Amino acid sequence: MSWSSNLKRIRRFLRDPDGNIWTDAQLRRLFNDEQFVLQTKTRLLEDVQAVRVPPMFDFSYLHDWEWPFLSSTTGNYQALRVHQQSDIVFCHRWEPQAEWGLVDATAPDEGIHFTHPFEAFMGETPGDAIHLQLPHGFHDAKLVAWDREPIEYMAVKSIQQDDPSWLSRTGEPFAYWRPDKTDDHFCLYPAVSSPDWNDTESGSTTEAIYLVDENGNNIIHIAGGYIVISEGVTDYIQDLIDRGIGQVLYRDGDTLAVEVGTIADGDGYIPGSDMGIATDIIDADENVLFVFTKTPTPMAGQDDESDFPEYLQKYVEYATLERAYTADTDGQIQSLRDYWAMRKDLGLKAIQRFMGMRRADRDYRLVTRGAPGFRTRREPRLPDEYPAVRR
Amino acid sequence: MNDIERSVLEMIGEDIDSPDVFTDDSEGMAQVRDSINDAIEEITMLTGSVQRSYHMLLREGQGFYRMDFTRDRFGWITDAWLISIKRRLEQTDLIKLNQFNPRWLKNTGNPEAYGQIGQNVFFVWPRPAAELIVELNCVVIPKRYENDYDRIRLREVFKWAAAEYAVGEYYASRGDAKQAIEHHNRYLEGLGIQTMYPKTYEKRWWYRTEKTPQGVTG
Repeated sequence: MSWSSNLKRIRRFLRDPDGNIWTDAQLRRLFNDEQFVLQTKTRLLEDVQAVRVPPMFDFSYLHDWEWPFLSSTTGNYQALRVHQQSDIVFCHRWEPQAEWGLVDATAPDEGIHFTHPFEAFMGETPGDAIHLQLPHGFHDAKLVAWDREPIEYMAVKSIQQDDPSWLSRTGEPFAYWRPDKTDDHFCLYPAVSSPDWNDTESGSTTEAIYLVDENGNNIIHIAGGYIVISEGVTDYIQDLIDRGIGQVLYRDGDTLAVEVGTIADGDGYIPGSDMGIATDIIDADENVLFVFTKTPTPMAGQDDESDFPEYLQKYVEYATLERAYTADTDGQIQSLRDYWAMRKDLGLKAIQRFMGMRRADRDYRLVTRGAPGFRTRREPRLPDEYPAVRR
Repeated sequence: MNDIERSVLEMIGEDIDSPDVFTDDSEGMAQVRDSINDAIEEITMLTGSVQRSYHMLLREGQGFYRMDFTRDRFGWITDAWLISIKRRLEQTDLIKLNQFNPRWLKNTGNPEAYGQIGQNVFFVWPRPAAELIVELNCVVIPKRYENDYDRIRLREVFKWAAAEYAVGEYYASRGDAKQAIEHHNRYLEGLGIQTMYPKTYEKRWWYRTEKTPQGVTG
């Protein structure tokens, strides 16, 4: 159900079809706010997404003032370092020190610097943290795994205390940290040493579309959910395929999901997608797998659709109606405010009951006290297949 | 116009044979159908009364599947049956698997358990070593009906409740909160879950101090 349909239903119960009292923008703000409230109270929205390594951002920028001019607000990376005192951007950390005459200007930095995070995987030692984009709508994590191994959150403080070369450390990641919670980025520790560039789904090595060549040039443009290949580059792409270089991101025939930098939905994997049940696999190999609770996407345009299932959106509408009738306008009516508040609260109880019924197939067992059961401590242990035990 | 719609129009005083406002077409009946559809969704969501069976292909090495139900809306899974192995999958969750083995994502073999994440993600453990078909019995929320000849998937006993729901919303759209509450309570009675939905909800309770207000003497 699109936002325009939600709005029409809300206006019907407000008896304000022409927006004489409540404006569209006001109702949209209330609806968006109530989506957050409903999610906070129920934690209904959850998702699983795999984040690609190497990452793919829409844009890189240097200064904060550039951000509002970028057409994407979901996949931007602030490259290099801003010298906050002078508002200039610099590459190496010796640059501002040299300006103050503290060190020799030729003192090397600990690694290379880059403007796109994928460049950090080009074989050199990284000198900056390699940012990865959190999944679209990420709120908090329930499970994070790198290449199917669970990894845990670590504060930078803990990492720095144990590892002086933490920024340039590469290997198999066992933890992640977050540089800034407003940018929705995270970093792996240690950084991935040898990522899988050919990050396609299983069984598909042909007809791959190359997005970036070995020089970092964009040869294919992604816009509006479509992959647009620049005119005349077909031969060039074939050449790259033949030479086996470049960054493979999507298979021919794939359609892009709204999430930038995550696994795209693949048309080719959905059998009979026009009927019954269609599935899309989520590839966790050589990627960061996130199981997380979501933040609902705010409605912006008339065609936007709420993240809540269609049959639960009416409860957000009820809450919106309660808020609208509460507002100090000519349409303020206490009795209707109370009525819609009642409907909203009943809806909350209905959702809670609904979520409880999702566990209807659980097997519950009575366990004798002291009997050995599941492991309760998540301590490191050898893989299950090692050593091979024969009995 | 189906039976529920006819009942709604009768209760709100509309002439069924020659409707004045709610004419017998998709535009005229839009409001009533919206309300009845809302009622059907809520009733099926709370009772789990509509179930369908689906066959899903589990791919080799793939543990997580994002499902897209193209006809109905997915509610929850009641049974998962591996057809070729003739065995049920046990329902589980991430907490239990993490407790059992933190490296559970690495395991492959014949699936033994399944779980649901959010509204549309289904996973199995261990990941299938070979392709398998799993039969899923799912509670679904039926697609919203659009025409008077579409099937209404409600038990007879709940159809009257759905009509009361729609009548209540009609009065709410007219600004009559008292009548709206009355009919919604009848809907709840018809549904038979009054214990979850208290009838006296419209009362607002508050604590009252026993102190004597300032300025009052004697």
